[in-house]
Amino acid sequence: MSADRDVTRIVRSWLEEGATALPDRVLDTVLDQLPATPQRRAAWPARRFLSMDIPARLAATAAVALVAVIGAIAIPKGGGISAPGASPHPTPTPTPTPSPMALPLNPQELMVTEPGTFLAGDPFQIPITMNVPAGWVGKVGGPYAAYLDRAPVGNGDAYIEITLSQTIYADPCHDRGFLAPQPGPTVDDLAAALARQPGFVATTPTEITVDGYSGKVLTLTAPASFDACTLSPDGYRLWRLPLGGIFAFNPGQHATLRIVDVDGKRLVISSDTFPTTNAQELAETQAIVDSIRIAKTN
Amino acid sequence: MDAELIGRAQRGDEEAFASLAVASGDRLHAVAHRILRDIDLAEDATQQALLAIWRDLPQLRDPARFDAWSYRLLVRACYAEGRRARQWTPNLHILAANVPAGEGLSSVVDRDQLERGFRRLSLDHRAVVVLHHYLDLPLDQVADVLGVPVGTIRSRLHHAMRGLRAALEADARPAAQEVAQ
Repeated sequence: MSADRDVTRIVRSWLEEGATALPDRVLDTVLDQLPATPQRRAAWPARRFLSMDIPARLAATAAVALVAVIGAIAIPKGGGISAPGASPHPTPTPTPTPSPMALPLNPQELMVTEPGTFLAGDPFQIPITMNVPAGWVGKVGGPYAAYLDRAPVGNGDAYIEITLSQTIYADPCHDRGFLAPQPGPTVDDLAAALARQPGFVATTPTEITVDGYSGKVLTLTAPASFDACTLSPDGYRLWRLPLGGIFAFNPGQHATLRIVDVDGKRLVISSDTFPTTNAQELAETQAIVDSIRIAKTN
Repeated sequence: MDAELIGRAQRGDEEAFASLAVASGDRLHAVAHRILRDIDLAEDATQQALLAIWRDLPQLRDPARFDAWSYRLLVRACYAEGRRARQWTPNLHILAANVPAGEGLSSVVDRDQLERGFRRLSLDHRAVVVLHHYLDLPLDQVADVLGVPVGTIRSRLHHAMRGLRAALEADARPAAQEVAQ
């Protein structure tokens, strides 16, 4: 009983046991109540892309391809992420025109099926575009988070989280609540606090620029096992967002955290990989991060 | 699921919905039973979920997503039943009659320990385990069904499996003192 695979197999076998057939009386009760249960008519949200009808979908796909081509031509070479020594002054790049496809908004749809240039925008507070290759899914989680995941999503697959307004936990390994006091408001404050987090192998924060915005980058690597931890119900957690989203690590997870100040908002772009993440996904993850453009917000 | 059937039910065709309910009822009930671990609560949750599906079906834009969407409504119903009942029986040992020895499930003790471990999990964690390990939904689809980030799903699954593993690794307890339901 030592291998996780064995536990998974036993749990799956156990779940196969149990009731499967819905009694007729329950079904009859439901059908009897239909006449007295009015249906709610639809009011379609405008932003849903993946549920478009076929002509609109074809048109949108064509637009994505066009944007991807235009983006490849029009994106300035000075953008993206670079090492220290780049321009010290932010040179924000306007959102490419025509507009890229919007990442779908949580919780309406999760999947993004077409590669191309996507916008993590409203309600996410900082409009960000990025080139998403085939095989990735993503969504805007709300005002504070946007996500991209390599599909099929599972342990070992890379993902990217773009977040704002993190509240840092005191200890990922044990449930000791939030760090007190929380880091100060600057990029350096947050980078230093993260580098001091217990339970991770952390690198020293170094200078970075993301699309002309200066900041700090560091990496955090979680231990290969959490067996010595009591853990909170949400796992090996690093921070919580204002609406409840929690950034938690799996064993061996490696996060590269890029922290930049965008017009007074502290943005964190995290790319997350695992010891089992393959070379292609690592390259795709880096390419997405390198393609990130931050639109001017004021 | 038949898109034409879904379309008719969306337009208020009760016969079409009856066909949908027959086709999906067993599947929904099986999931509810595995999350709630109580046959009566599972029946109530399935009934509520089917009525919610009927009520909200016109708002389902993409019929191809019917299954995932119906699971979302079912899990909500399970949460509601779980909150309403609050009558978990963590010390009961439930033994199904003539349960075959499943592959890899070595003994009654294993079942009992799994049952205990599973009942100690929150409904959030149970739902993730059932959707992923019983329905074989990929984690991104589980996240879609439950409306939470994939990272949270990963974390919940890790925590839940850790708890179940700990339950399996616990010392075997005598089954004679336990009550069969």
